[in-house]
Order: sequence, then C-alpha cells, then structure tokens
Amino acid sequence: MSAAIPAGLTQQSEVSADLRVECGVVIVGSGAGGATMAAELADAGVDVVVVEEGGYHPTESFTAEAGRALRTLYRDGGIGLALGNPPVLFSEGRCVGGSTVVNGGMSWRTPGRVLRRWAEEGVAAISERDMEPHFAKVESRISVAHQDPETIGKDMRLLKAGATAKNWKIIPNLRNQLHCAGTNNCTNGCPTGAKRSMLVTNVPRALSRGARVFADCRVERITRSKGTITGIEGRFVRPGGRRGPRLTVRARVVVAAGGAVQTPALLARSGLRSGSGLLGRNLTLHPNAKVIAFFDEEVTGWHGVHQAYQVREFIDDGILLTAVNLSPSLVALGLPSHGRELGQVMGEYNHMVTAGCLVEDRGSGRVRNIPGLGPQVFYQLTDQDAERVVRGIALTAELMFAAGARRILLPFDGAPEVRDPARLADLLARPVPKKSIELFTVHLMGTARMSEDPRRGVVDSFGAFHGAPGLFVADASLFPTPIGINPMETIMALVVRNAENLIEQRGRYRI
Amino acid sequence: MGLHRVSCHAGLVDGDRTRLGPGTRRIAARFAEVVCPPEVRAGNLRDELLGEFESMLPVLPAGVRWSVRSGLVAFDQGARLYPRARGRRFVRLADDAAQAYLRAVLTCKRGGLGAALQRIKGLVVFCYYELPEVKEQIGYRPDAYIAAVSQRRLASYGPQILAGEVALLAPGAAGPPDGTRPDTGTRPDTGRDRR
Repeated sequence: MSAAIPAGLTQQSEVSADLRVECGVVIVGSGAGGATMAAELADAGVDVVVVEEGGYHPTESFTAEAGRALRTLYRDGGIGLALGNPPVLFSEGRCVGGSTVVNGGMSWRTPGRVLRRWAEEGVAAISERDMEPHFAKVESRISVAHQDPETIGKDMRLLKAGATAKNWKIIPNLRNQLHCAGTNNCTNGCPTGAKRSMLVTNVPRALSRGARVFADCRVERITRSKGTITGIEGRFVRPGGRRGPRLTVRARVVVAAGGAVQTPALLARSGLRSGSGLLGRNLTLHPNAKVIAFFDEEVTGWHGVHQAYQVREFIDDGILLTAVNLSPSLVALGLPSHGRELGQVMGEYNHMVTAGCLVEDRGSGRVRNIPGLGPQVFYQLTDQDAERVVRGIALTAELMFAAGARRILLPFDGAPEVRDPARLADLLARPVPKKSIELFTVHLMGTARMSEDPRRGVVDSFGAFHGAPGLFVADASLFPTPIGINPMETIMALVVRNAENLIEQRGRYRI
Repeated sequence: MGLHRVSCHAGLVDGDRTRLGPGTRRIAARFAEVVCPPEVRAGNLRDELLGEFESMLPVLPAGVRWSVRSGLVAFDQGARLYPRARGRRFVRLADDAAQAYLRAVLTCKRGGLGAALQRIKGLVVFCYYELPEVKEQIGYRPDAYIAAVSQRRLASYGPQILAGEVALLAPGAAGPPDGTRPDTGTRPDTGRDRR
C-alpha cells in the first residue's frame, strides 16, 4: 500500500505534541453521518474539522483477509456484544469513512410508512415530499443504482430461483456503487473503490473544500463553558493503544456522529443530559439470523456481488430475507462443530449459501457507560420479535429448499441439521428457546431520537440537542423507530437535510 | 474510569501482537489441535494459527481478552475434574480423552464455561481459516478472482468510472453524472410497491 495521504488529513504518526485547533464546526466521526455533514458544510464554505477515532486506510490497502479487516477497520475486532437474552453480536466500523467502508453497500430510501410514523412521533418536515430532494442528492453523490448483470453470482441466482419458485416478491438491490466489479469483498473494504463509501466520496469532497480530518484520535469529551458548547478534547492513539498527544478543538458547533453506541456514550460522559431521559435509550438493532444451506452443485458464493437481491414478500410483517456470502473464517466462527467434523463441513464451503433474515424489532435496549469498560450495550429481544426471527429463519430455510438445497444448518444452539421442509416444519412446530437463537446485527439505531417535543426526544427535528445550543447529532441515533431496511441512505438524507437547516442558521451560530 | 480511558486497541497497526505467555500459549496450541481439523498439525500451520490468534487479541475488548485467557486456563485445569482425565490437565490428555473432555464442556449448559469456550473455539477456528494454505485447501482463492473482475470492470467501464471520479469533486455538482451510473433509468424506491 503506497497511496498518498490526502492533503488536509492528519494521522497520529504526524503528531508529536499536543495540538490546538480552531474552526467553525467540529464533527466527531467520519461515517455516513459525519462525512456527509462535513461535505455539506464545507461546500457552503464553513470551516470544518472532522475527528475520527479509526485510522486512514485507502482503497489500495484493502484485501480479502477478513482478519486483517477486522483488526484495522472495525471497532473491537468486529466483536461487539449487546447483553441480554439472547446476547446479540454486533459490528461497527472504525476507520476514516466509518461503517460505510465495511457495509454491504445497500442504499434504500426510508419507507414512507416509517416517515409517517416519525411525523407522528413529533418530527417536523419529514414527509416523503420533504425528503425527496435529499434522497435524490444522496443517490447522485454515491451513485445509487442496480448492479451490472455480469456481477451477479450464483448464490444470488439461487436466492432468486427459490423466491420465484415460492412466488415471493424479490427485488434487485439498489447499491451505492459505480460499476461494482462484484469482488464480494464489501465487508473487508472495497478493493476497487467502486463501492461509494464515505472514504471515496464525501471525505475527499470535504477535504477538497478545505475541511481538515484528524484520524486516529479518540474524542474524550465535548467541552462547554457556562452552558455554551466550546468544542471537543481528544487524544491521538498510538500503535498498541498507547495514549498520544492531546487534540483540543475550539468550535462554536459540535456534531456528534459516532453511531448509535458511541454518540450517546460521548454525550453522557461529557455531562450532557436529556430532559426526556431518553439519551442512550430507545436502542433498536434489526436482529439478524442466518442459515447455511448446502447445495449439490458448486455455488462459489464469493464470485459475484455481496448482495444483489432482497426478498420483500414479508416486509409488511417486518421481515426481510437475503443471502450474503461470508468468508470461510467467518462461516467457521459460527459453526457448532469442531475437529474432523468441522473440516468436513468446511470442505463444502464452495457449495454453501449463507442466507438470513432481518427483523424490524419492537423491543429496545440502551447504551450505558460502565466505569472501566466504556460504552456497554444492553438489549432485550421481545417474545414477539423472537417469534418473528424464528419465522424469518423458517422462511429463509424454505426458500433455500425451494432453490434446491439438500441440507440446512439452523442458527439455534443444539438444533440438528435439517434435510427437508417437512422436518423443518416439525422442528419449528415446537417452541424455540429465545436464548438458543444466535443473533447478529450491523444496524444500531435510536439512542438520541428526534422529536420536536423535548419530553419525547433527545434532539429536535433537525438534530439539535434539546437544551444545549450548538450541539447536533448526525447518525442513526436520530431514528425515532427502526426502519426495517438498510439505514445508510436514511442517515445521509437526514444529515443533508439537517446540514441545510444548520447552514440557514449560520448567523445564529457564527460559523 | 471510562471517562479518560483510551481503548487499548484503537490506532492499532496491523502486525501488532499480544504475545501469550508460554503456559497459555501451550494451552492454546493444544486447544487448536483439538478444535481445528486434523490438518492443523501439518507443517507449521499450528504456529501460523497461533500467530494469527495473537494478532487478533489486541483488537478485542479488554473483557473479551481477559475471558479468552482465563477461559483457556480454566479449561486446562478443569480437566482434572473430568473422570476420563484421571487428574491430568487438558494439555496432557491423549487425543481421544481431549476430544471427549472438549465435547463435555461445550455441551455443558451450567456455569458459563461452555458458552465461553464456544466463543474461544470460534476465535481459534476463525484464525485457522484465515491461513492462506487452509483457504487454498477448501478452494477459496479470492485474490485471483478479485484481480480478474477488477480488470474486467476497468476494461468495460473505464471512461464512465473516470467521469464519475472527476464529477465527484466538481464545483456545485452533487455527484457523478447520470450517464456514469448503471441503469439510471430506474427510479430508486423502497421496493414496497413493485412485484
């Protein structure tokens, strides 16, 4: 990897002493929310500083090594755990570009029914008509489109064949990609730059307009003086996690965009409180569960795009189905077998399709700062959501059998493999204990929810923190409810809208 | 206190490692022999696996790192209580007894050691299937594939890609012009109303 470091981007290795910086707006985080806010404000001529905890890893550095990606691009090696029954594994990106560097690249508008629900929750100017120009701008910026057909692999064709056989609605994914090559490496960082993550779109755009980005710097707190927001204080992080020099940024506006776990944690450890009592609460996370289906024919699921289709037949019930190829190491990590048996299962890696469901959850959780441990996530799956996860798994397995699978591994601890739909129905006719379900997610939302009413929301309709002028939130924390689909475009469109609102108030904030 | 805590893994440079102490390393090595396919004993795969394992440890949350180390030690010493072990530690058990002890612990629902061990096992086999020789054995060869399709992309769409990159930074432009994007005639929607 020998790519040049972009002008305006500073890494820890370049900083040898404490730094003090002044600007109009300092943004914490460089993912879908932070980078979009930076680009929009910099476009308008605002002096912007972005502080990102993770490192700068250019496209040229991305490989197919999942271990390397987990070590460099993800928080905690990709192993976050929401405590509850059952626990939910989760992953967050931590690098310049945030989770957009490692997500699957699905880009969908917020469903109209969700926007209507948000309006009922007290969010202003959130109708489909209000949001249309913001969605359009985002889609243009990150090249949202369907895949070129030559990039669609066999696992996706099997998913489609299964859905067609069942007469279920299946649609081609809209993805943020500029002629994606179909490398199937989305979650390790796109090695071609075709996935239009923030790393290759809004971060360079913001830099080109004078924004400054500080990577490898953990923001410790938001600073205030006499109730007025004055900036942030952070520390550069040296290799091995050693504490480096301080970074102090003086700014009239602070935008927290660290995601639904880190943002409420930062606000809380900065002494900020919400009158609603909802800061860090209202966490939803779209619980996912997967099956592994084995086919007689070779599938070679790593040939072709990460996700080309979604099954939307059950979307009104809050259940979305799809297939996602995982690297052998990630497949092995989740298998119950070991030793020789593990070798036999993995010997069929090229005959596998990993498919699963996402559930629009109705339960909720919270984020708390635990002394000595930092932010900790707690989440309780409701009985109703557990039933829907089990139903989603049953539907996914049915679909895989319809596509020709000869046996299927289920994500329930101790469940035997199933070899036909009748056995599947028999198995799932009995209650599945909640604690036996293996859940995973990459969609965490809702911990600083919007509402015009300070009793019902942490921030107002445009992300301004109730009771702390000059402080804004710009990430999935804003969502009053889960959205049932991939959240990236919703985050970006909300932030474009909120940035426009902030720019209109430049005089008020003197930025 | 968490307030000023710097995450011990932030800013990690790939290649950093947490060296296991010799005792824990010995347990991890024997554990890998039992949980991974038998081929782990071939060549120096086991040492490579341990290297990968040690490079994963520093990025894990502190609590998880602690539970990995203490879980391995508890599993090793716990074997003394397993009847077939006849008072010996896990690292001293023959293959059959070691497999039987592992199965007994993994299926044990009480005490939490089974669940903790399942996670440690997951991490170890993850590291095993990250080894290039192992990927090759199961027919996973992504590098050549990525190189080929990346080349195909450039050959098929080079001018459009270049135009898109230029447009991204152009003054006033929202992003790449429509002509550079695949099938832009399709109006993006939420997919709810089409069958």
